[in-house]
Amino acid sequence: MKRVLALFIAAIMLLSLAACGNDPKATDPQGSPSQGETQQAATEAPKEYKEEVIFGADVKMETLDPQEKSDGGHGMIFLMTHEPLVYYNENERIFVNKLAERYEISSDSKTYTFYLRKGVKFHDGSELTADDVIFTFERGLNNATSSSSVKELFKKMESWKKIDDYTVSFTLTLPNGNFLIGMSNFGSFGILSKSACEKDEAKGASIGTGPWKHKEFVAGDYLLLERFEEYWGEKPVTKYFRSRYIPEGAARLMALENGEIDICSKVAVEDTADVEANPKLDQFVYYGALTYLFFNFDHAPFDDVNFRMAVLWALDLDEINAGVMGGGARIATARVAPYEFGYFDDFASTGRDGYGKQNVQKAKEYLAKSKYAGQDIKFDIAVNNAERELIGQLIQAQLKTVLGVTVTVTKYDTAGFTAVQKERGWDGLIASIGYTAEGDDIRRSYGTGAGQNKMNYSNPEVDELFDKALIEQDKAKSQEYYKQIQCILYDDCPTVPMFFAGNSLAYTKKLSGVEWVDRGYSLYAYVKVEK
Amino acid sequence: MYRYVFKRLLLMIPVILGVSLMIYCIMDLAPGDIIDIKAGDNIMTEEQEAAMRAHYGLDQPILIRYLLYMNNLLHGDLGTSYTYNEPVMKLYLQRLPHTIKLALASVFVSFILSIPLGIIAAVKHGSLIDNSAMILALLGLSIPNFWLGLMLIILFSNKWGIFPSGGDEAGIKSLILPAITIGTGLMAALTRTTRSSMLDVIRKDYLRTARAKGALERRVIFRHALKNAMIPILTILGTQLTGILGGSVLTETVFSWPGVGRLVVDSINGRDVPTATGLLIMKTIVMSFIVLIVDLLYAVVDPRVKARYSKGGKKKKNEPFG
Repeated sequence: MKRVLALFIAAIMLLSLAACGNDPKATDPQGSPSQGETQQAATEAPKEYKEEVIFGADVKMETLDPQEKSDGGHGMIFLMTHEPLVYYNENERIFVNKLAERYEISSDSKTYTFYLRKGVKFHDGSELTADDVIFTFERGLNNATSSSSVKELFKKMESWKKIDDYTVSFTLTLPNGNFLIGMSNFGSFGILSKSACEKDEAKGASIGTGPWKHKEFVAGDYLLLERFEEYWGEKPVTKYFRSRYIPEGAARLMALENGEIDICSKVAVEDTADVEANPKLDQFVYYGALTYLFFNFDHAPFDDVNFRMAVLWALDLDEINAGVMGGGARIATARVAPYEFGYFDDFASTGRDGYGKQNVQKAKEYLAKSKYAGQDIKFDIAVNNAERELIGQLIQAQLKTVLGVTVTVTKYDTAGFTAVQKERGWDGLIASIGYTAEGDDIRRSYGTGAGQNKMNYSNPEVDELFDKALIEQDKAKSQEYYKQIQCILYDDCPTVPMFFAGNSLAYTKKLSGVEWVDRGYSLYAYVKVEK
Repeated sequence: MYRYVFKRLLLMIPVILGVSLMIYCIMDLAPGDIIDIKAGDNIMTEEQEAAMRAHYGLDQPILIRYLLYMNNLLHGDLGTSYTYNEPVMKLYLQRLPHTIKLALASVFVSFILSIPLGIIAAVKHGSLIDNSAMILALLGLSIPNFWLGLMLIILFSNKWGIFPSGGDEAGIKSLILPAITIGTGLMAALTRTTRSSMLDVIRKDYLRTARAKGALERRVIFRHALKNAMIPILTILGTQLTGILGGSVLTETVFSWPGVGRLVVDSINGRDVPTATGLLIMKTIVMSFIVLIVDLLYAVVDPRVKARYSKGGKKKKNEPFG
């Protein structure tokens, strides 16, 4: 009996000891972690990241000179290797000081003064000074191989001057409160090293101040960037970034699925469902460029606004989207992109119908009003790739059915496509334009004589409104001007805005550190991939 | 023999001249030029266009440009790429090792598949084996190589993870799938040529004599028959090798293989005249050398050919050949 009692008491005591033990997740009344929690934190290993991140590119790098190219494929690299004075963060719609520590804009929005950061090193070890900034402006304007978008920007500067070694100012021909948005886009306006460019005319422009520098470049194959250890700001965690050109889309996606690459650019529409279903992958869908059907105003029947309107309302963009883009495109409801300053598409509030949807009755009404009504109308549409050829063929079928118009589609290669535009030997044309977030950017498509005004469209009222919107310091009034421009463009119908391609980019779920931008110029400077 | 070789080398010069002139003229006739490529969707001002034309030397007449190009070529300079702003020779030499590797591997695959298949088909002429070999060869010819390449990637790379899906960074593993892709395509012609050439030889009297003398069948086929059947096989092999050394664009695209072929096509589409001209001239030179080597190998295989070369290529009247 005594033995049983002793055993019973011992068991009770043991149970009591167990009940009184610390809960590893509990904290003490003062709020600091318990001993168990500290031990748990101490044993949690810090994340390890891969030394090299590989990007599978659909576009090959042709140049390391930021002033030569301004497309997305080159822009993403230039945004890593070069830096502008000020960068416009499109997601948060704020300006971030980069090479300029601070800046001032004169009250008339014409003169900008930049105070440069001191001690900023270029990749060749030389220090950034005002001379490099002035050199960059001069080279951008005068260099024969600078892209026209770079030249157009620097042409807007009436003059520039060096105030001291770390202070630079420029004066614009016209006041423009949004000029800095244009200056920070595409990566084309990164500051170059004067000494590097003078030493090596061919390769000097590849030297920048960004967190990444060039290590190896095999033209048309791959580009290898290395972390710049003397970067003035926060250094990336990743040591190497490789952009590998993989032209075949299916092979590129398979390389991502295999883990051979970490990011796959331009995923085909038919493959996006597979990416979504893959638990190891994620994707980012961005707007990309706006695809238009352009009309050549110098050629009949597009010299008649009623015929142009007839074509606009006759097109079934949903059918084209489903048939060619697999339903993945975003139908355009305005002639600008939603991320752009001055975006307006509420045409119903102005007594106009919103476009983007086919309206056969309206199309026939416009055709009846056209001076070409009753005639045997024929025209050609020029395209430069297989996708646009398919779009052209669907347009051909739709216009035959709705308007009885005969359309032919002619496919050119890239050089031939540019040549036919230069010679104005086209009637209709399918092409895309990528816009910046700066409201004035659409002037290059619709301003008289502008660089991408393929149609030869000219409306002095629109030109005047562009100037007013640019000068206007009050954002709300400036928006109003852009709204008026959109309404005039609606009535003049110089183009048919069709869709944003809905480009998709896939990546491993272990990836982080990328700043995804709707327009497509995402920032990869701090990309990292967990091991 | 040396006179023959020297004569052949001299004949390369007019070939190179002809090729370079043809390329220059064709590229000039094609709509658009590098300025249009650089302009892209933007319309340049006259001033911008004039500055760019002067930069690339396109403000000169085509004859002047061609003569300047040929002058540089005589000094071993293939010019500077309009697209990449790099010396064309540098671009070529960067890619040449990859192209050579792929060419040799593909021909090897084709050789080890086709020769045994062709011999078996000839020896078992008219049998099920012969018909099966021909169907297999025909399959190799019929299947589009870009499709085959993608299927191989799906199976061996994506599904089983044995080989990489592309590039040339994993040594011999990177080479296997593209070599099989090209090799199976080449297989058809080589198999059929081996078969018909062997059939031609296999019934000859000297083989009957060899068998009658007690030679093993293996010795009869490989020592006597195959050696005499080699000339057409060498011709096909040489043609295949020159074709691949010029670049296999589709395979290079599917496997993102950094070879010469893709660069040639890109330079033509991109109106990069120095690159296109330079690469095609190099291709012409390589092809000429390979054809010369094949012709010299004829002499190794067939002593009658060697004798003809030694006589400076002249054949005596009524001297039988073949």
